[in-house]
Amino acid sequence: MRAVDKAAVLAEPLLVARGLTKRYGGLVANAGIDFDLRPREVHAVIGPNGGGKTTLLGQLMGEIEPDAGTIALTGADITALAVPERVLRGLARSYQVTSVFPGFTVLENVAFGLRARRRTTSRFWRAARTGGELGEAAAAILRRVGLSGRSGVDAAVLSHGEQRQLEIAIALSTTPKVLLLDEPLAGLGVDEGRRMVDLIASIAGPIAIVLVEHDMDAVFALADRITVLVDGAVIASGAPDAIRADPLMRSAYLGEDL
Amino acid sequence: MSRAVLLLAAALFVVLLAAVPAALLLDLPYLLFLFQQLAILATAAVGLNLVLGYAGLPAFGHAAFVGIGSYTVGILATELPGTLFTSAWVQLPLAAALAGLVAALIGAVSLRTRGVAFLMITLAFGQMLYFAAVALERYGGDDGMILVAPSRLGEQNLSRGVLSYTISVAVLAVALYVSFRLMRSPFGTVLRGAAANERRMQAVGVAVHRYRIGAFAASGALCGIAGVLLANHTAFISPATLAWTRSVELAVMVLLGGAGTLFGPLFGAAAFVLLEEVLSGVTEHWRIVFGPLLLLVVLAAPGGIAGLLGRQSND
Repeated sequence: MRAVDKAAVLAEPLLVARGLTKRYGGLVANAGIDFDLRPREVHAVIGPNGGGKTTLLGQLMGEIEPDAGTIALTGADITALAVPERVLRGLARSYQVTSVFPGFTVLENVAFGLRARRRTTSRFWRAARTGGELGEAAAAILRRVGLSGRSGVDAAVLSHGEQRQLEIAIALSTTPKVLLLDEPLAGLGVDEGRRMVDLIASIAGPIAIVLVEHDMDAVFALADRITVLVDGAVIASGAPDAIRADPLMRSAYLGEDL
Repeated sequence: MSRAVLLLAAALFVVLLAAVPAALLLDLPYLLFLFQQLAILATAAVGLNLVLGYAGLPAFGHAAFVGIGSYTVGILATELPGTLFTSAWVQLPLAAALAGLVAALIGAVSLRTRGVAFLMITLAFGQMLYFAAVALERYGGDDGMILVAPSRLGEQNLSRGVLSYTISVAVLAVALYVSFRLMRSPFGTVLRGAAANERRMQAVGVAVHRYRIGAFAASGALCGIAGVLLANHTAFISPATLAWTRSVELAVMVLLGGAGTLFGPLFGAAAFVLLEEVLSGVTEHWRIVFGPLLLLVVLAAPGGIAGLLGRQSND
């Protein structure tokens, strides 16, 4: 587990959600969830399938409109902001089911976010270039996620493991302050999973991370704090050791995995 | 882009240009008439391809934008004959601006929907403009109107003849160049990327909606320019130009030629116009043959003619 320095823990949270509620007909996916993410923190969200984890990420990102509740990023209310506006304020996410740009090279996949950040996507006459400063920034991101040798390859023909790496690279291309990771280990083998944990550990710190993950080894290796969601409600939240020791937790959830 | 695609495109332009001396020497004015129709429809198809092909949006009301271009010419010729407003230099930009603006507005509303709903709403807007044209009693209503004053160009005009023909071919070339520049720019890559994965494009910080409205505007403007040329070409303007069947024909040209490829609309328009010409010479029920033929092509070659010739991704 990484050490989180005390000053950071005491600092104002980067991301604060209060009373987030989302209903689908009779089903309450999120029932008044309070959630926060501090600077430099990895905050894992765990719980059984259908517990509301992905709905929570969707609401934080702006893809799902909450029925009630508020979300603030770096002190500013972002509840009413659309996805692209939140991204430009420093929020990024990855998806549980791989979501890249098929038909575009790995380099071009990363270039979209870099151009959006530089606000050059609306240029309509000069050719879109992937060289120069933008190319260097893209190459640096691909090096970080371990895709250096694959920059010219169509994203559609990458292996599943490589697509999961590209998924992270695309999220990093927007230079986020807060990164929401939705099951980054989904479908990965043991070795690939281990490399993904190393990758997440290497980007954590400067980027605060909300980690939704089923792999408990990964969660306990990475998380500074863990929140447990069951039936759309927070049943426990705290340091990993406390969560591991919580008898309610052991019976409710961890019992299945440990 | 494959070599075969480039060769075919070059060959078509050679044929379009060689038609001028051929028509004069062999006294075949109809050849120029037919090829000019081809060039004008290809220009409109290049416009539609920006939305239907590159942006991947099933828009089926683009004949309305061609109609706006045609009615701009017809109304100005009727109301302000002999003035600056019958000059092609005024009419072309004006028609492009009007059609582009209306297309942007229709796009802004239609883009709130997706899939079949989007298709239906673009069709519905097209029909609205069709009936608006029918309601223009002063300009012939249902019957349409004869173009009394063709667009002037210096001492000459765009009505018929070699100048008019050459300009239509030149406009097609310019439209293709504009499409080429737009679609390889950051703007164009965003459109194509959003067609591949819209949710992800939003999630990297691009407000996709705005770019698509921009594509609608550019697309409508090109169709409006085609409409100006079409009105001069046929010397007649009627609501039939805006009929939904015309929108479908334009879409068929794009799909037949290769949606989302630079030269696809040109190939599609050429195939459409020439097939129609040949088949309608054989039988008046040519559509009975034409329909299944199209179906076969679409089933056998989803990438259209450009796809058959070997297309790399995104070109």
